[in-house]
Amino acid sequence: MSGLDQVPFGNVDFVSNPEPRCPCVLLLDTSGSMAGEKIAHLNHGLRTFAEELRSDSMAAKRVELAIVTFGPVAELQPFTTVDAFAAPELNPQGDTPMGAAITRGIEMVNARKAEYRQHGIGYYRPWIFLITDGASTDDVTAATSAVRDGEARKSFAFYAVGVEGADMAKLATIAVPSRPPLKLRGMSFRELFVWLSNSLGGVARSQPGEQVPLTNPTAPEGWATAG
Amino acid sequence: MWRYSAAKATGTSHIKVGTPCQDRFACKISSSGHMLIAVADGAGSASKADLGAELASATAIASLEESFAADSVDPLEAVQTAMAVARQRVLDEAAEMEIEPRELSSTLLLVALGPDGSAAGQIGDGIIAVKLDDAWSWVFWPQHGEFVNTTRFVIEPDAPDHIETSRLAPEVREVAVMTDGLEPLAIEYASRSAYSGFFEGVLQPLRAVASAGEAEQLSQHLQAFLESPRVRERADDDLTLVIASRVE
Repeated sequence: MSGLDQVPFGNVDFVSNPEPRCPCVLLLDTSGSMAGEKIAHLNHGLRTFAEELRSDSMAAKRVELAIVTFGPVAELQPFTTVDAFAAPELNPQGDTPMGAAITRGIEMVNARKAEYRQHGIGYYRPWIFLITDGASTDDVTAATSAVRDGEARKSFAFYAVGVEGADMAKLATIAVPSRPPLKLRGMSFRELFVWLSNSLGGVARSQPGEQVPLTNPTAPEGWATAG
Repeated sequence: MWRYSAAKATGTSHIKVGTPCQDRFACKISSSGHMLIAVADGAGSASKADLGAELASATAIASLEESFAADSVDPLEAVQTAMAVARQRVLDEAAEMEIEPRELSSTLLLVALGPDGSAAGQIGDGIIAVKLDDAWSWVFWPQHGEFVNTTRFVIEPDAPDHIETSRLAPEVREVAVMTDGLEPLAIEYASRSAYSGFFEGVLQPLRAVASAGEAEQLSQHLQAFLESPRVRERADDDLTLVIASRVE
């Protein structure tokens, strides 16, 4: 008789279910105006983001990242888990088709959710995170109504961050009033991505019925200013 | 008659941030010979979730006991009544304490096993599993909504629309009730099936107990099991498990 047999409940067997996933798609403005200091800080911020997520064991298992750059709109990184994510080196070019980028991001999130459901993988509410320094050069009507509709149905959370030069008033018409756009303080990309990593980590370890407290990015020491 | 064991353990995620265990259970063999089980999981975001879970589970058991004290009671009606009575009790408590009902949010899972009929009820996540024809199955699929970190609670305004109740086959001789923390160890999500390796494993020690009533020593072993490293490394939420088996 083995030792295990003598301990009650010693030979209970467990299911190995896949980890639930916490999807996040970054919509990154790579238009010509981002050239220079901004893109250098953004690239550095993305590397920090990957490192931070990897150092959080729960986030590393559960967070999935995707990247859409604009313009032109390109799916630079399909959804991937953190351990397989390598921060890309972004090169600015072209105009700012923000509307098409938002629409693409929403489509990617919906398609990913369908895949999760098909494979019986649980998931958290996806995040769509937009970073831009300009004003859209395409029509954002369809994208705006898709954001409003998705937020109203709680199918995802949409965040918009404006870098120096961004049309904040225009961003405010796209984002929902409960999640107004945030203005990046100077070149605080690094701080932004540390916050994003911590926030996603918090979501990825939350239990049913638990509200995830997010650090206020507009606090004096935060990376953003409101509006 | 019935024999049973029950235990709960505070989640490591709760210990880390200093929140108390918000799971509660109540079990009783009524004078009518019914095995009564109530399990409630208090919401992490609710300030008095442990009190809400305590009230919901204790009130439900008292209601079931009262129902079965009468002759020829329909177990399904008794469970439906217990759900409604428990919900009202928590809402009344919120009013008396002058707090929002959501501060007392909890799920509620009920089982009443009787000599002449059995029934179960559930709102929210967690699992009631029964063994029938040598196979384990869940009674209600856990109510998670679209996202894994959301569920339903007994105090919600539309809870009456989402409380599920069902008769159980008279041949059911074994049952396990758990809060959602154990779900990923016991339920295979892809196939939506109850994993017999888990349920057979937890029921096996109880089958060796000859006497009716709570197998108290086994309940202690059950708690040690819930607190063991092999469970802990897979489940960091509060954990509750109640197992019951009919004695010949």
